[in-house]
Amino acid sequence: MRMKKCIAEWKKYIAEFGCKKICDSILGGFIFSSLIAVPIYVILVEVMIVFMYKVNTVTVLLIVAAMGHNILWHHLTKKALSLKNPEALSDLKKVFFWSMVSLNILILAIGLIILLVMIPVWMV
Amino acid sequence: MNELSEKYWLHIKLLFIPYLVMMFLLLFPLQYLVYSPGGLTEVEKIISIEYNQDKEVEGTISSTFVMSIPRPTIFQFLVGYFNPYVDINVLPTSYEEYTNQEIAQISYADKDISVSTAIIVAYEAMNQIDASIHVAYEDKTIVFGKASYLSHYADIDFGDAFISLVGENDETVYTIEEISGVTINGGTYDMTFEKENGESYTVPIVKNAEVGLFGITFVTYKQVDPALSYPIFTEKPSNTGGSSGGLLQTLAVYNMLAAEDITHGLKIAGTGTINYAGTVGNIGAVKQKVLTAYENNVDVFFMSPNDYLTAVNVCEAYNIDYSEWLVSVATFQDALDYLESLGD
Repeated sequence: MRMKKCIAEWKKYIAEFGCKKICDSILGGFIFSSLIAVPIYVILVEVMIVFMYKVNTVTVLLIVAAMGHNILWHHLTKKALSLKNPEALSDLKKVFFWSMVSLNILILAIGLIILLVMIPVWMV
Repeated sequence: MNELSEKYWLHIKLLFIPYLVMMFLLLFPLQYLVYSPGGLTEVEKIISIEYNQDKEVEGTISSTFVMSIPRPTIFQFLVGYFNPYVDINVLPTSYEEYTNQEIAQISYADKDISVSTAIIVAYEAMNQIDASIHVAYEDKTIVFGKASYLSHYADIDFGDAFISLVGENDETVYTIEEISGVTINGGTYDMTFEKENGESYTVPIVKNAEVGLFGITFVTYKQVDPALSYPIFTEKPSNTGGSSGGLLQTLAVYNMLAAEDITHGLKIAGTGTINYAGTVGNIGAVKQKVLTAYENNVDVFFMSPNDYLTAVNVCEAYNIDYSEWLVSVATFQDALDYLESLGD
């Protein structure tokens, strides 16, 4: 039932905005969020190089930063869509919530693989 | 996208200059060399020997690496400057002509030499106990330095092996000692090298008329032949370089060959080069190595007598009790004797 509602919400959202507007908003959201996130990544990587003995701590911070980047990306995409069509009836919060959560779970899973598997392999 | 630009235009205008300044701080390199603590590398992760497979080793033997960061960014410089664990030096003149990648290549070549030496010392020590264990090696001369005036600079890589040179009157020589006898200043000679993957190549190299040199620094070492040695060993790729792991690599290889576990369940680490006589040599960045060992809670940390005093001073400066774990050893045998004494 819940799934059906969700799919209906997605269909309504796509019909209301159209692919072009959605793609433009996603791209805009990604570029603007990256402008903020990239310096944070660079700072953390440079800190990691200097404080290699704290590599695990900095990696956790990088995972958190990547998750923050994802949240910001979704927020800005929603913002761009609502600016494009202020009268839209779609519940953008609901539409974007699960995509944001699933992407964050993916980032967390990749981060944990890097932290627990890749780093011990690299540190030889 | 245009909507976002319009919405945040004021923010973009206000933050543009600070953003550029921040990126400059994060990307602009300085002519310094930063040393900071690194970590431990268990030797058995880079060298494995098919021998004594049933033996249970309770402890670990690790070499210690530190982070050597040539040309840090302004941000890294500032982060390091305010951290008491970090030392910042002006980039040595010997590094000035090299890129960071070339500096890393030199470091990896140094590590290869160190591992080869460690295997020879450990195998020969074990050969005294068990004659079936033997090691075969041959002299290998590799490129260890390049001057800016070297012709075909980009074609010749650090670590490439020197094979031969065709000198005056087409006389071919196969050792670097013979080169000066068959060449004259200003002459061009075909020099043959071999890359690590076995591919050989020949390049014409000019002997610089002004300085009377080719512009290549060579190093000759004994390269072990795993196929002719017993037991067979495998060297795996490593992301750390340098020769300071020599002593610990020797101890670890010895432990892989010995019937008894010399670790006695301890977390053993250390730093120090090793030579063919088994003598432990001093190293750089003693402070960062001692702090790395301390951060990793090692049980025993070996180092050469020359570095020991520096290490003691570091421990006293950082209020670290060193009496239980910092051990000075002049030779590989001293380290073995110390570990043996722990088993009594």
